[in-house]
Amino acid sequence: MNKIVFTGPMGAGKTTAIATVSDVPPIYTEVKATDAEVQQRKETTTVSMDYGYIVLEDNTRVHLYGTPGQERFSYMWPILTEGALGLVLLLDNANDDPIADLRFYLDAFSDFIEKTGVVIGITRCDISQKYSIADYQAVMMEHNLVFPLFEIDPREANDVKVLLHALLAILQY
Amino acid sequence: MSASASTLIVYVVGLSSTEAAVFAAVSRILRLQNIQIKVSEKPDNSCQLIIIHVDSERGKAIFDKLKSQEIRQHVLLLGDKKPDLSEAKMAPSFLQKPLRVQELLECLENLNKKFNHQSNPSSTPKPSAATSQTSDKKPVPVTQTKVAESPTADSQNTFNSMELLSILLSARQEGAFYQITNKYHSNFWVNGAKQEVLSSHGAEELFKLIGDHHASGYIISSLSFENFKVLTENKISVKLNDALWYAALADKRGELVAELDENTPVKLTSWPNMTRLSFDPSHIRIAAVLSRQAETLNDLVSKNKLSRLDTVCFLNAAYSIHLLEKQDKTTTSVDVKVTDTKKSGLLHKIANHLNIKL
Repeated sequence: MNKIVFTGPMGAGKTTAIATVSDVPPIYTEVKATDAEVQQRKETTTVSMDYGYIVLEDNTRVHLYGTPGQERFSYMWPILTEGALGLVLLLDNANDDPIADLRFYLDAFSDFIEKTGVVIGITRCDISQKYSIADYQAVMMEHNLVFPLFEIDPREANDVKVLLHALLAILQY
Repeated sequence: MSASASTLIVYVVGLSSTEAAVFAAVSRILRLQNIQIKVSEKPDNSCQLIIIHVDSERGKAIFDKLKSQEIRQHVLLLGDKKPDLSEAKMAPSFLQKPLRVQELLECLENLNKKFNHQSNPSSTPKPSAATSQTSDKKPVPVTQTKVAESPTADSQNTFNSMELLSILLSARQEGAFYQITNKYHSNFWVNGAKQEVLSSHGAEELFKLIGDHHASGYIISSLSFENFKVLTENKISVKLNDALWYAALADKRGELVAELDENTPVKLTSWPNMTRLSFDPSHIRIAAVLSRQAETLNDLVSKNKLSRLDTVCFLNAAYSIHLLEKQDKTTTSVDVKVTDTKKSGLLHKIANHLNIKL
């Protein structure tokens, strides 16, 4: 199955990013948030996954999966990444500790990243300037990883396209 | 109206908004030096200096009228070229456009000294009236003002637009304060110490100006911190690194910056923040290769069928913002990974679908 997986903590913009590039309105599995933490951030949250797809010129479908943001659903991550082309990791710069989030996801998906590749989009940089792109780049260097890492607004089609462009390039070259 | 020893009374004619802004900036600098510039509403006897933009309709008319007269006031002409003065009874100074802060500043400082010197030191100067109309005072020659050579003074150099990258790099390296002038657009300023560029424009407009490689003849003035502070008051700041990126991409000479050479392998240490910088689609491909392994310019171009110019621009840009590191020349280049044909085809189809040139 041809698929690209979008992951990252809740509220980072995975659902929005998938909606931005999907050919069809994505299927959401969002429910009203009940966790206190989640409620503070947004009204609904993804509990299993988001799903969209694009249809290529030869009618091949490329599936776009968004993992649920909460860690307790992490058991689903290996299932979703099985056979995937690559990973899009979105991080919310306005989160409490997005640098720790980066470390966490790099470790959680390390095997998959090693085999394929990852692109990282930092969202909500307009809301919080707590960390700059250079701070995230430093963490990547610590891990000896040189993967695309951009500031993005998941609502902007061009930003998501540049991120996917970079993913395709690292997978190709 | 009499002027104090530190007052220069000026009548101005036909200045454009840009020239008026330069004049205002110079007035602010002179004020810090206790020289007040007072702008007179008419060229009466209280005036010491008449500044005329001779390329403007009104300026030309006034200059044509004045040039056959013996007037008390000194005249400073601004224009694209020196007007014909063969029949003039005056000896005006001349500054060629674009009007530059440094030149106008020095010109006004010199004239102020001259007027003060000519006047009674203990009394209010009576501009040129201190000398009679028929006096043998030596006229200020019709010449472009030269740059002061004092180490504490500002200094100035002219560069080709293509060299803007080197200028910005030099500002950063030296922590210098530069004013950058170009006749096609308004000034901007570089604070090498704080690594920022200041201008009246927002970032997008400024980067458009920096990227305009048709603009030529940048005038770079090295400023003192005091002058820099005055000139950049209320200006919009952008990161010098971002300006360096745009300057590197606009530099179409196809030459690597001095620190790089075509036979030294280089590797990307981090990706540029490409969603917030302009780039050529080929730059993503170059970045993808260089994030995996070190390559020389020559290998990079030949193995990947890339445009040499675009590759040079990218390498210069990435190096300028510290995202590229040189590797030992003995580093052997590993062949770029080969993606299987089926997967490669799929990736290209996805790219086509997204209107991406992979």
